[in-house]
Amino acid sequence: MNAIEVRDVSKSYPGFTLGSISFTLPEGCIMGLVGENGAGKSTLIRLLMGASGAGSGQIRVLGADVTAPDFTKTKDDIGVVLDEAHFPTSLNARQLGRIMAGTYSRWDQAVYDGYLKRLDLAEKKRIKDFSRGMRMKLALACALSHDARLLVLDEPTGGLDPMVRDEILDILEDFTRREDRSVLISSHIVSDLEKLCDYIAFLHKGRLLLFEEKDRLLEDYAMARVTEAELEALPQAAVKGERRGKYGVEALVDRRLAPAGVALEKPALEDIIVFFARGDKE
Amino acid sequence: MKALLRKDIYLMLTQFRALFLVMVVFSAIPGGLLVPFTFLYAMMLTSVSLMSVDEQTQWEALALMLPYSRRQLVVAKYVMGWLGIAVAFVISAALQGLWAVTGIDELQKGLFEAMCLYAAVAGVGLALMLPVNFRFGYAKGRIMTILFAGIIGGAVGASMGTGEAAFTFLSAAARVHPAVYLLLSAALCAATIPLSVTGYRKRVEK
Repeated sequence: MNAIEVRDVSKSYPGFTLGSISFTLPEGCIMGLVGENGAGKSTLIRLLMGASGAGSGQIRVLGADVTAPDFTKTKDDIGVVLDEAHFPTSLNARQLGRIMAGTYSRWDQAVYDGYLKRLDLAEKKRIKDFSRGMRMKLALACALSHDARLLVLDEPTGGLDPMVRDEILDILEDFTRREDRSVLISSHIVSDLEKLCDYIAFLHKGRLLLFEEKDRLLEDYAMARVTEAELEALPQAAVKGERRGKYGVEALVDRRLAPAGVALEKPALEDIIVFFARGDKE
Repeated sequence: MKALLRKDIYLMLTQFRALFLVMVVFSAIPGGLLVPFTFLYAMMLTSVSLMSVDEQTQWEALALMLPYSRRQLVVAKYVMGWLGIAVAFVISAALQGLWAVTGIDELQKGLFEAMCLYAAVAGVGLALMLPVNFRFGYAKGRIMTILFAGIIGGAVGASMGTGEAAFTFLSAAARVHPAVYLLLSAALCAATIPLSVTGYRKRVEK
């Protein structure tokens, strides 16, 4: 079964259109959703969770149509962490746990208590007195304490220090040890996604420029440092993006289309994303 | 829905404790002069004010992604509103009864009937305010809240000379069993729930 199936989904707001988006995330995989601010990542996540109606297209999450009335039941299998925790700030972690216990049918209080302890979150401290990092960890503790099959995380590591980010990534790695568990995580921080993800989706100005297995991306694309003349000699279809500097041109090229003899270097995932965005601009 | 009610009750207990005390003071005034305001105040506190807190903390954005239906999210606020009205009823009856027992004040004639009427009016307030708040959000919806509170407050104030005269007037004016207007008020609320759900859907899905 696929964890997420998105077919030709579009959504329009005044001044912004998301679409037409299509991708499939197989069960047991981790997908990283990359994109600049305003690219449409949060809009896509709202559509996936049925929190917002799509203009057109079809979305199925864990096999259920997100527009169907019984999708509410499917949400029992999904853990969500948004870019801000969005919890009532006058409550504490213990009260929040009681609320979540009534929200999710498979809520496991012992697991939740375990996460509070592991993440060093005080049970009786009001959420408004938590730092941003602590709030995100609390949101993660909630999302992980009801035996979810799918985690949907919208910028969970944004604005956090490297220590907390690392802690969160460790927890996510633990979560995906079971093969039937899937994760969709959006982030600006491509290096985080590079560590974690099986699939990478790149949203740019509301369009899905890229959806590919991470390993395949790293295999198929390469960086070429060439002169202007060498760049001209490359087949146009091979060049996905370029950056001109004082000493020559840096280009992202498709290895499969690049002629033999051109010196190619292994790219970082961030290079691929940046050059795809530049290629789109050009 | 129990979890949503639990969340709202926790919020009441943690965030509105001081405001709750104001409600107790209203209902404790001997002569029952401010009892009508206790009902309005309690209703607004437990519905519209809670919605404003939800908006401030952006709880809605998360709640829409949790296993709650939009209908549950809406109905919870109606239930909280009626819970507030019930609490106002109990506190007002208890305190006014206490003054009568201790000899501080006489029990006003027709107090029970009048309190039922106040509860019904507060219920009508819920039925008018919640659909507007769900459709347009608290910031815009509060115009309706202020309007309703102003009209009712003005009407109650204008009609009241002394406490006893007011209760006598209200109980005579009703001339129907208190259960009837309470039921009518509850029915009006139930009838506006689909309107609130539709309005809420339009607001969050736009």
